[in-house]
Amino acid sequence: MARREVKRVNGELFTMTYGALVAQLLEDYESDDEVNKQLDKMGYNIGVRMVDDFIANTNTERCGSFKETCTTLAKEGFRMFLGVTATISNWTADDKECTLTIDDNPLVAFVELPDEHRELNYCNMYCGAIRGALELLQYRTRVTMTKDVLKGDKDTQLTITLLEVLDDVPPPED
Amino acid sequence: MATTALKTTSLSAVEFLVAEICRGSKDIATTHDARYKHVEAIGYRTGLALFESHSACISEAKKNMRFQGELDVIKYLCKDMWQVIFQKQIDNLRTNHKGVYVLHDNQHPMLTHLPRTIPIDENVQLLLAYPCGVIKGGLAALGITASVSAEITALPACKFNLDVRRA
Repeated sequence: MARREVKRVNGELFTMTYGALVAQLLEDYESDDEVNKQLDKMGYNIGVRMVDDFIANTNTERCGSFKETCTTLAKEGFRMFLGVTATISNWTADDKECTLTIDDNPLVAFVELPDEHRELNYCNMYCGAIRGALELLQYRTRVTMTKDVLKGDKDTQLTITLLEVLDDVPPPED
Repeated sequence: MATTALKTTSLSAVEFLVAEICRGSKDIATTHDARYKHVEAIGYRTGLALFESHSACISEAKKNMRFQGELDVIKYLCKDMWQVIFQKQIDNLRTNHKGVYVLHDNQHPMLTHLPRTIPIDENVQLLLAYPCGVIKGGLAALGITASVSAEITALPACKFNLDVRRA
């Protein structure tokens, strides 16, 4: 089957909309921590929808393992939605934890973190989105930001930890 | 300033983000009006940022900027700005030459994925608060204050009504 053409728009639209959202949330919520939570929650809902959209638009074969799934997400997923790629590295021996690095993070262009918001994880939506996407694929995970360019690191890094492989939930009996 | 090639994201990434912004507004505001204002404010900031000088968008679109008057700015919005943002132009522009403009978008990107049969209710209105805000913010960056509202004719077409307040 031919790959469906994915409609694309100017990348700055996404970057600026995300920035506007974070700015608005900082006004609406009391603390950075609450904004982080809200971004994570919104990301989760988006991640769930992205999986469907990804499958509908690509010929990707079913991934056999958690490792394969994470690699596809980083390479293909990031490219399709955000026009950049991410790399996966640092797998632990049991293949349950890895590091995802976004080299050219589109969210942080034009952003500077003011001193009074040092607790803000500006890119926290990534964590929620990856967690949501993986959960729909039956991997319950914990995703945390470990490096943040806005806090002086060289690049944006997230740590993905597999907590549980979920079983297919059978439909409830009538 | 070095001009880098403009990167793109999928339209769906923006759609999902905007849908989430609309849903998230329900955690903050209780009335439809307050939610509408919240979403519009995010659109406004977006439009303003996109067309302020530090953005690559403006340098891309600026090439054709030759403003004689207000109508030129609105034309610029319909052709260049819309093209830079959504990679399409507004299909039709009408004006009464007294500050009221009607912009017809026959395939509005924020609406193309909605099923044709969904009821045009408050949720759809909320979704349109975003492009209304973007237009308002983009015009503000070019020095024009306008009130903007959207009407759906038949999905995925809609029209934006601009009312430019004369100082």
